[in-house]
Amino acid sequence: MPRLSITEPEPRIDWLLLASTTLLVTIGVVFIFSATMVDPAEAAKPLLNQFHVKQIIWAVGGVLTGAILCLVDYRTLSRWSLVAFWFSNFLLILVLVIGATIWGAKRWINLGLFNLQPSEFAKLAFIFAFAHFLSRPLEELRMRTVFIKCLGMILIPVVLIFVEPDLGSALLFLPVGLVMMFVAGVPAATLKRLVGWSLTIAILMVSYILFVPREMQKWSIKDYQRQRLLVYFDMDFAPKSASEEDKRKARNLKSQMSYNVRQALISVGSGGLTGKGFRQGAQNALGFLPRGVAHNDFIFSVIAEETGFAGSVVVVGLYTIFLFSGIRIASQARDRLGRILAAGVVALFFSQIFINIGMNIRIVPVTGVPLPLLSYGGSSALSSLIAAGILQNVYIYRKTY
Amino acid sequence: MLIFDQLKKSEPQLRVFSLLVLAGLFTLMAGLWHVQVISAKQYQANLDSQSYRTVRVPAVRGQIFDRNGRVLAANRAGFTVNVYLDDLRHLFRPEFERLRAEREKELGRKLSRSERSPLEPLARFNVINGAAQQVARVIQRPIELDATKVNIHWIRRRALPMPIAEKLTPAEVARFAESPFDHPGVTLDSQLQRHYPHNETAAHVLGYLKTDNGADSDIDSEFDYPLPGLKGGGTGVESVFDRYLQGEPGGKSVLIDHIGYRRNETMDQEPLPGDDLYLTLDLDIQKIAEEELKSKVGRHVRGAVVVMNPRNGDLLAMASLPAFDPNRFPGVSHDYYNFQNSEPRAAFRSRATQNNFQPGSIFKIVVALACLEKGTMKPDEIYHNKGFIQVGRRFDDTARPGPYNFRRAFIKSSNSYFIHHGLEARVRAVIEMGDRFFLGQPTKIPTWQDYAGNFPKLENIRPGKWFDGDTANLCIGQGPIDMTPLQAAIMTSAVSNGGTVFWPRLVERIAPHKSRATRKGRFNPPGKIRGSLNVQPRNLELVLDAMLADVEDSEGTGNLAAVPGMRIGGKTGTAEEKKGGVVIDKKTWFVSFGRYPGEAQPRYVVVVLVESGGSGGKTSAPVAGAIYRRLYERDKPSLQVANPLSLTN
Repeated sequence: MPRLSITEPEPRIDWLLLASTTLLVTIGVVFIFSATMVDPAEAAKPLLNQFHVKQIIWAVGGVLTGAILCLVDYRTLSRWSLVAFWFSNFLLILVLVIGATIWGAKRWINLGLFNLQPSEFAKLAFIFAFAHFLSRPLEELRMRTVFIKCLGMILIPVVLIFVEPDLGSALLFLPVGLVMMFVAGVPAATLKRLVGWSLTIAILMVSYILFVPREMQKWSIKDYQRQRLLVYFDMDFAPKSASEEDKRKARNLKSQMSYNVRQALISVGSGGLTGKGFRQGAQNALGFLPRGVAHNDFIFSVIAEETGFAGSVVVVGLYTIFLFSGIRIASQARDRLGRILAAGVVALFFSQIFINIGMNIRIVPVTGVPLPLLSYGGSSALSSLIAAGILQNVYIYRKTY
Repeated sequence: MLIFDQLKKSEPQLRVFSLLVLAGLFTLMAGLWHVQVISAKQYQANLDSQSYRTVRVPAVRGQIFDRNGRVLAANRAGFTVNVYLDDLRHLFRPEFERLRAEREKELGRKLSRSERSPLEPLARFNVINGAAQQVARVIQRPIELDATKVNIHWIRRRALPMPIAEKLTPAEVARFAESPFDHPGVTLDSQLQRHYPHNETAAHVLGYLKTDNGADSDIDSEFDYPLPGLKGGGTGVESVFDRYLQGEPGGKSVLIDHIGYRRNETMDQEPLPGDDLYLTLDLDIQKIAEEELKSKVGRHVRGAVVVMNPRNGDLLAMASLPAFDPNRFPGVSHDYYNFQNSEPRAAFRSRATQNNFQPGSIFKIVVALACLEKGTMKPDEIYHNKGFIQVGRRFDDTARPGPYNFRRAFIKSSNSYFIHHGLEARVRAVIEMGDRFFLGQPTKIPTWQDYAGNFPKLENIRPGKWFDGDTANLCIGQGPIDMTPLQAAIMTSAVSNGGTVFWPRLVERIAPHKSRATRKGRFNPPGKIRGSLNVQPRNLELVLDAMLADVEDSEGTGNLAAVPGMRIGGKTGTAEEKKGGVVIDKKTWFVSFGRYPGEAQPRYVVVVLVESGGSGGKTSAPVAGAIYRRLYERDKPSLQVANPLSLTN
């Protein structure tokens, strides 16, 4: 493309990425409003305590933090990444000690003003630190010791988050780490072997959890996690040999466990092609879609019910723009660090989007993974926007020639 | 496209990654398309089924009138105080917390989950009961709520109002309406209630309503809540013509939230009012029949009166005592029901059509016709009654020994005479005559109370199975023979109208409500002929004369039925019920017709049956006489006009 003028400045920031980010956050705030205002108890709260207002505050905070991070070259930032990584791991240990137990899991540290979810920031710290680690010369990446160190870096936060327990967030590190290693240039054969082994282990573990009778399992995941898996694979909770009474109880429990998914599916499905209109979602208004999750993990159900397939296309379309802008930024990055960093952020976003939307339409088991930029939640909103900021950072300090 | 351009020139790893992302997004879109477009209908149906409850709305029930358009069964507003749970629900939680705190303070520790859960229904009950007691103070009527029932309502019918005080009296309605009391969630609702303005009058013919639980009806199965509805219970025209009277229920949809409380409701289909029913009964005559049966026999009489128009088979009155009050249904008390239902009272049984009685001497009408037709009995031939007759066993005669011709034997009801002639004519002749009256066959009266009676069948009359003693017994209306008073009325009508057996008519027409112009009514024409006696007029005349003599002759057994100004013919009967050779009860009969001088055919047939009476002549005939007297009083003004026109007879 011929330059029109030698003085024309290169765009400083990626407008497409900014636009899609802004639109997604706006849609999120709008539908958090729709999801929560149907409850008169919520509507009666002071404005500053209402979910959509709080989300706006978090979003502003996220944008500011992201912008501030853009003032410093990501290469400079990456020097501090290992510190951030170990600090986040420290927080993950801390949360196990002093964390607030909510719904049977220790995932939040109460900071007075708000509850901090360290796992959200651990993801970012990991991506930064891992990108920094992987940006070493290509030859080193072929070394076995480096490979083992890679696995170690992935597994430390995975294990710490897994024991909270937060299976969904823990498992997110695996695809992200894998993509980063792949983009960094770790030999494909090694990665294939890694994926093969991981899949084999995963299949063995799932089979063990599902098919070995509960009382014979020496080690296992939490009951509710196993039940979520059973729901996903549509298996009976009670063994065939159980008494009628036990089977009936098990069916009840299964129906309770699958309640959220069932209601989410009804919400999404009944939205149809064009939806029922803003704030007209019956599933949400009547409370069938549980109030506790409608505005965070199941925000997509609310959007899909009220705006239909058309709205889903818009949301997925905006994510597509966001993700491919990210990949483009990766390819335009000035160095391998930037490329791996961008690819890591894209992989994180993509995994969360796939798991969350997939869970709404029952192609993925239920896990507490928020929808980035859309779901309500301070830590999630903040970390998503910081991640978007990192992408902008890589773009701003791209190669200019 | 702008965002994909870069992929072409980027390095292979990023390209593979891009394809991976693209594939994932495509999977999501395909899944969303499947759920939101292809399966949308199914999920919409799921949503509807979990968020809507359909409620049946009963239609206004058709009224029931007598032949002159006087109301026998109508609807009037009934008032109920209802609690709407959705308006009280915000109080449930605070009450639960209060109970819990109280309990925890008592025990000095936190309650376990299993200890907490029974407090929930208790909290709801406390709130609802609190509202109910406030209502109780206002309307000044004690209200006792059953905690179990309240909980069942909450579980099963949460979206519907819960009645806490039903059938309010006008005073209670006024107290409620005027009180400054304004408790949310409590409202005074009115709904139509069945009302029988004449209480026990014709109760058996009308029947009563019961609460419709919807379990046995097809249309109801379409509704989640078929209630509140009423339908004809048990017997009577309310029940038989229920599908006409009921109209077509409408339906409404109640939108509920995830806990099942009502959000709002919409009427999907307005109910269509039911058809009205016009009976052939005459309310005046019905009342006369019931009053006279009571006044002549006693307040606790058990018996029946059938008044029929012999010219066309119309039923003018069909009384059975004791009777129940249909206004007490539904929701009748156990005590009332059990008392009325106890033997020998059996107030729910229509003694006019739902009880087989031995006819006794009234059957001699049939025997006489059989013998006269056969020609074996000459009316003037003298038979010497010895006071008994020996046919296998000894049959005593209540008529004194002496010479008897037909007329004298009939009015004195001589057993020997009719046994003698019956044997001469042979049993076949008697049974064939009885068959012409359709004895032992149902009358098809549409009240589901239609007893057929009993009558021997010709094919069962075989040597070795049927003996002369059986014939003798049959000739005096005993043995394998039973009739309902309605059958006796049909029999008497056929004799008195010149030999035509009519189907009895109870329902004149079914008339659609005026708002349903396109709906067709149904008319049931009078005088539907069932058969003919086919007897010589001379013989019929002989029997009619003998019946007239039974009443008009001072020696006749039916003499107490005589009414000046009217020509009444009748036959008495006393059927003894024996147990081990001892008489334990007597069913006393009087069958009769009443004719005005100058009219060719009688206007009325009156049949009276009294249980535990003295004799047909002394117990039942006076009832008929009293009824005729009042019928005469009633008809007198019109008779003076009618008489000159029909002086031919």
